[in-house]
Parts: sequence; structure tokens; C-alpha cells
Amino acid sequence: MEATSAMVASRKTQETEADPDHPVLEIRHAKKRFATPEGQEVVALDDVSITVARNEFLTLLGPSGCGKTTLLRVVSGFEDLDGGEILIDRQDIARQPAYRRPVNTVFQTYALFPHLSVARNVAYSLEVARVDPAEIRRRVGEMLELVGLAGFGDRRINQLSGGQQQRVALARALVARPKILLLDEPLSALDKGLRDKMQQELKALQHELGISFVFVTHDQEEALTMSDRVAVLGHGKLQQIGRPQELYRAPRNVFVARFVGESNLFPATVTQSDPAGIALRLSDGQEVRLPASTGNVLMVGAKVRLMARPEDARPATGKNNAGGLRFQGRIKQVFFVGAHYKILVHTQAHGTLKASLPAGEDLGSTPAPGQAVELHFPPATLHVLLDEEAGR
Amino acid sequence: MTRSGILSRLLSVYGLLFFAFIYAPILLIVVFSFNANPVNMMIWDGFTLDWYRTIFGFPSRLTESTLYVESTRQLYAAVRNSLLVALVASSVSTIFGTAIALAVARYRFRLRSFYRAFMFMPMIMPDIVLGIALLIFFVSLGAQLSIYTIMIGHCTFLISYVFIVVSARIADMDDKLEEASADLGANPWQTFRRVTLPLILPGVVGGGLLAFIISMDDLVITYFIAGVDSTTLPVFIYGMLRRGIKPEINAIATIMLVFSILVASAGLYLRARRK
Repeated sequence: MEATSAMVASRKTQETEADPDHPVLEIRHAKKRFATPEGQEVVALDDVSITVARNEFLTLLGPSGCGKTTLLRVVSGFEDLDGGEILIDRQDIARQPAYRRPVNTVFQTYALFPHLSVARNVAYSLEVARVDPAEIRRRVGEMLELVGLAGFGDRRINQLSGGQQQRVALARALVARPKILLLDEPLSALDKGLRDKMQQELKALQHELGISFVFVTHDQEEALTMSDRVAVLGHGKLQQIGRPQELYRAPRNVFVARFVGESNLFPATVTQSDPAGIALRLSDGQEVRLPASTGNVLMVGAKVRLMARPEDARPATGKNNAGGLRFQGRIKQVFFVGAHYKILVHTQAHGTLKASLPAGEDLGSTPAPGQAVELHFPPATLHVLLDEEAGR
Repeated sequence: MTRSGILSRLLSVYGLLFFAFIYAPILLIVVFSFNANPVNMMIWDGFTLDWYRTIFGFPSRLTESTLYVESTRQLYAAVRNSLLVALVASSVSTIFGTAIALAVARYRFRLRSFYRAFMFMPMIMPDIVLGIALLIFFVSLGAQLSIYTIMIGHCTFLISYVFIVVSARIADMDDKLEEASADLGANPWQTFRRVTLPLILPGVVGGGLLAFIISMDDLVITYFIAGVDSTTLPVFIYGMLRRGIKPEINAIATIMLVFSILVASAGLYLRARRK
């Protein structure tokens, strides 16, 4: 299938020959402002630069209004940039109309044509490009098979379930073999079971086709599961871009730490800083020493935040006394989530902390609200955050 | 009987009376058009098709006594004028009304809401005002009143009807569909041909048929701007009435009624099939 499809290149893939090592998509210093009806100005994109490698699955992650959908619409051509460049295979396409760009979109609401059959929906881009009818039939058949809808070609769109419509939208966007597939929260309308299944299928499909996917979501779990890299956007700025593990383990700022995964954040002051490491003091007076981290040199007296992930919490015992942070408190609430307990612990100095303890871990007994508990976070699990968020 | 039982009984009676009030006069005309009594149409004197024969110019038993439709040829000319005006005016209005509806719905431009409000104006403007205004307009331009002035005059208000019907249809349409089309490589013309037009077509056809019927039916405005040789059917009937209500009018009215119902049903059928 690879070879035959590549032979008959559609309008969209005929352009400049691709250099496999060069990023397929480069967004450089993208700027976009909107005027609200009340006359205020909203900065949707504030100097955002992102590159997408060939065959990469990149996710744009952020809360609603962070600019992720705007960024997608700028790439697809539905919004104009106020400044910056968009390059696809080194060609600036920022001035090209949407219908000339070698990208296709899977819309959040699917936007399938209700007056056309499933097959005609999938065939649309090929028909418009005046591909030979026999060739269209063959490629539509292949595509429907690929998304698991072989034999559904003659159905009408309103005869399909949500999950099936999702697959038609995917097939329609992929049949012309775009250089980049843009996906605008395509899974948000599906129920949880189907969503998990589609996540795996999307990932497999992307791997099989070798097309770069740019996927927009506000669901951090979805982003971490599927992506090669994740770009976290907040307030129109790129907060951090990196592999899911990097974002989770080493968020660059408070915004990313709060948005990706759950976290406990403690304000702290740097009391000592030397090449070997730093010492920090928390508001409750306890001190912690951490090995020197990469990059930033911290001045003594600097205010930072210390991040601790809930799953790194351990019940404090005599053995794990050395280093790290300890908190005494009372359990407020317990949620049993199968493999572990999620507990909320109320502490005097830091309010409510989140902790996640493996089920069966010895807490003396099953954790219960009202119980006194002491939590320990080993030094290796702590992460220092410098800023609230990018550019603030 | 319970209180609510009585109330619901009363409501059904009210409903029946309501429909009787609306449809009884129309039903009477249809019945009268088959009444063989040439003197008093209120008194039933047996079934006849003679009034229909009369208006189509065939000899009949009753025509000698009434000798009313002085010229079947004049009637035919009026019908032809009406059909021609309705066809041209509704076609032109359908094209422009649809174009304006698309422009107002899809593009942001200065005075857009002003424009939208202005499209409703001809509908609320009294017919008589519009008729006089058009007459003065044509006269001051030095235009000869003719079938063409009627066509132009009809367009001025028919565009509004088409605009409103098509706008409602566009409002129902997911505007992401046009984005999807562009995204898949269709240029603006292809998008219009393949996506927008097929989806708004029921509205366009419905608006066009509505415009056609309204044009066929218009008396007041046409009365002012019709030329000597361009009498339309409603104006012709009005002329007949001035010389007294005669049974042939019932037959003409019944034919017009059937025609309108056919056109409207065609419109409804097309709409239902598209959905």
C-alpha cells in the first residue's frame, strides 16, 4: 500500500521534495491578537515557536483559551497570523489560502458532509483534485479498510455512531496523504472506553502511515499517553515543549507542573547555593538539601517552588529519615482507585497535600479519614521550579 | 363529566370553529364554481362544469345567459403575463436573495447588521406605499409602464422573502463544513458547488417557490405599475369584479387555488426529501 499510494501523489504531496531530517513544520514567532466584542484585545498567540519533526506525534496541550486551537487554525489556514512564519518543508505557507496547504484537519465536531455518503466524504479531497475515478475508488476502499469501516461506503453519515463518524473524519483527512494531519480535540465527544481505544488506534495509524500528527487536547492524560512530544501552551505562550516524561518529571514552571499531572507545590527560599547543590527552607522551617540541577544557578535568598508528585509520597518511617521533606497531618479524604489510594492530607503549615499510596502499603492499617499520618518525599523526587509561568 | 373533560371538549370545538372560520369561505368558492344556478350562486341548482368551460372559451349551456367572460383571449394573456412575471421575478430574486443571505451570514463587513435589517424593510412596508413609490420612481425615470416594470417592481420585495427563507436555512447549517471543504483542498467555487449549494438548496427552492406564488398573487403593487398591455391575472380578476361578481370568477379562483396548492406541495415535498 505504501508504494502504490506514493506513486500516485495527490496535489497536496507534489510540492518540494522532503528532506527527512529537516522538520516538516516550523512555526516561528507566531503572533495573533483578537479583538473581543467589548473592544478589548486578547493575545491568543504570543511569540510561539514550535517545530514538528517528520513522522512525529506532537500534542498541543493547554486549558481552554490557551491558544492551542488558534495555533492549529493558523497552520490549517483558517486564521491569519499577525506576525511570524509558518514553514512546511521550508516553504512559507502563511500567506497561502487554506485550500492550497498540504495539511488536513480532523475537526472536533467531525464536520462530515451530511449530503454525501461515507465513501463520497472520504473521496472528497481526491474528487476536488480531479484524481482518476478508478484511483479514487481504490484509495477510498483502502482508507476505509484502514480505519475499520470496510463495507460502510454506501452508508449515510447520520446512520453512523459517533465512533464511526470519527473514523470517517480520519479517513477523509488522511486519504490525500497530507504532510501533516491536524487533530482538533477529536476524541472529546467519545465516551471513555471508546476514547482509550481510539487513542491506541490513532497512535498505531500515525506510526503506520508515517505522517506527522499535530494533536490538540486539554486532557493531559491523553497528551502523555499518545505523544512523542508535548507542547504546553498557556496564556498564548509556549510554556514548555518536550517528551511526556520530561514534562512530568521536570516541568519548567508552575503552570506546567499544575497542568501536567497532579502536584504538591511548596514555596521555599534558597538558603545555600554551591556547585555541589542547594539548600532550601520551607515556610514551616524544615530544610532540604538537593543535588545541583542542570541549568539555572540559584542565588541565595531566591524564592522558588518545590514540587512533589503525590505518588512519590511514602509513609515516614525511621529508615527514610535522611533528607527529603516530611509532613505531619491528618487524612481528610481517601479515594480507593484500585492499584493505589489517593489521599488528601491536611497539614498545619501547608494546607491540603495530595498523596498517592500503593494499596497494601503498610500505613498501620487501611488509610481512613481522621487518621494521623506522616508523609515523606525523598530528595530525588523533589523538583525546583523558578517561575510561575513563561513570560510572567 | 369532569371539569377538565368539559374544558378539553370546549377546546376541540374552538379548534373546529377556528378552521371553519378560515377555510369555509374558500370552500364555498370551490363549491359555487360547480353550481349550475346562473342567477343566484348562493342557491344550489345542480352540478356543472360549465363555468370552467366558459373561461376556457368553450361553448356552454349557460354562457348565453351570462355572456360574462368577454374575451377568453384576454384572460389567457393575463395568465401568461402573470406566469412570465412570476417566473422572471422569482428567478432573479432567488439568485440575488440567496447571494445576499450568504454574504450577510458568512462575511463580516461594515454596516452588516444594518444591511440585514434593511432586507426586512420591504416586507413590513405597506403594499400601497411601495406601489405608489414604484410608480413615481418609474414615471420620474421616464420609463414606459410595461410587463418589465412589473418584473422589476416585484423583485424589490421578493428578494426579501427569498433572503429570509435562505437565511434560516444557512443558520441551520454547520459552518465548519465549509472550512472542512477548504481544508480538503476545495477552492471557494468548488466549496460552493459541492457543499454550500447542495445544503442550502431546499431553502433556495423553497424561497423561490414562495416568491413565485407571491408574485402570481400580487394585486396592489402590480395595479400601480402595470402597463396597458401588461395586465396580470389578479388585476384582470379585479377588473372583472368591478362589473359584478359572476360565477366564472369562482372557477378562476378555484384553478388558482389548486395551482398554488400544487406549487406549495412541490416545495414541501422537495424539502422533506432533502432532509
